[in-house]
Amino acid sequence: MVIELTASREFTWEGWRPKIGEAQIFTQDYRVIEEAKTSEQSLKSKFSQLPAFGLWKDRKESDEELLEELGSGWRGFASEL
Amino acid sequence: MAGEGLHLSYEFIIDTGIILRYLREIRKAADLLDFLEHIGKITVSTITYMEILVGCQPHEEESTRLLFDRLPQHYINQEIAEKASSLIKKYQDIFGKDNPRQYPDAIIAATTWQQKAVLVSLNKKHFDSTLIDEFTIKTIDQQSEDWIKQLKL
Repeated sequence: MVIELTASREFTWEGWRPKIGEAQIFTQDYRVIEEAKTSEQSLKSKFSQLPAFGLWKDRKESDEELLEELGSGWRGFASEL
Repeated sequence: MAGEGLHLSYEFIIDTGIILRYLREIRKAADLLDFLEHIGKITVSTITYMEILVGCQPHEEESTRLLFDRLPQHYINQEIAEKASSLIKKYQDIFGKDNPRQYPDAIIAATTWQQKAVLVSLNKKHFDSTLIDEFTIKTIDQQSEDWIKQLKL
């Protein structure tokens, strides 16, 4: 919900003269100007804003080499047979 | 391609290759994750988490954990193990010994099968060559300008 604050003074200017010590009375209210659709999604930051984005940008290996390195460790146990 | 005209709010399982490109600061990978998260649910296999952590230097681990906090993980269970082994036996072209990523790829694929999700992968070489009946795959040509358009959703 998006709200707009409004204010009104509970007196008119007619016949009004400032007096020392007189407090002006304000009442504060609000009105709904728009129903915003909020969701968990809208609160999330973009993936490019996460600190992990670009974490490996300076790696020298090609994508394929890196992928193989990450996924090829499975042969370790088999090699002991 | 199987799975054309997917309903929104589908679950998309992101394979390790896409996370790797994201870490290498490929903007198209970040945009793809934003898009898929917007229209559905994005998850990963816990194997992907393990693989990426293996490649991390100690000072990179905290940022990596923050990324995976955003990507719910599917753990390996008996059903996934059985499905993975059946995929390896049935699709030797994809998950056979010639594929150096044989086991992690099979586990990620089996997770997709179990979850009735959609696997999103850059591995066109393997996945476009063979028709897989068990689950839906969306492959993306890494060289293309627009990865999101490649999904043909």
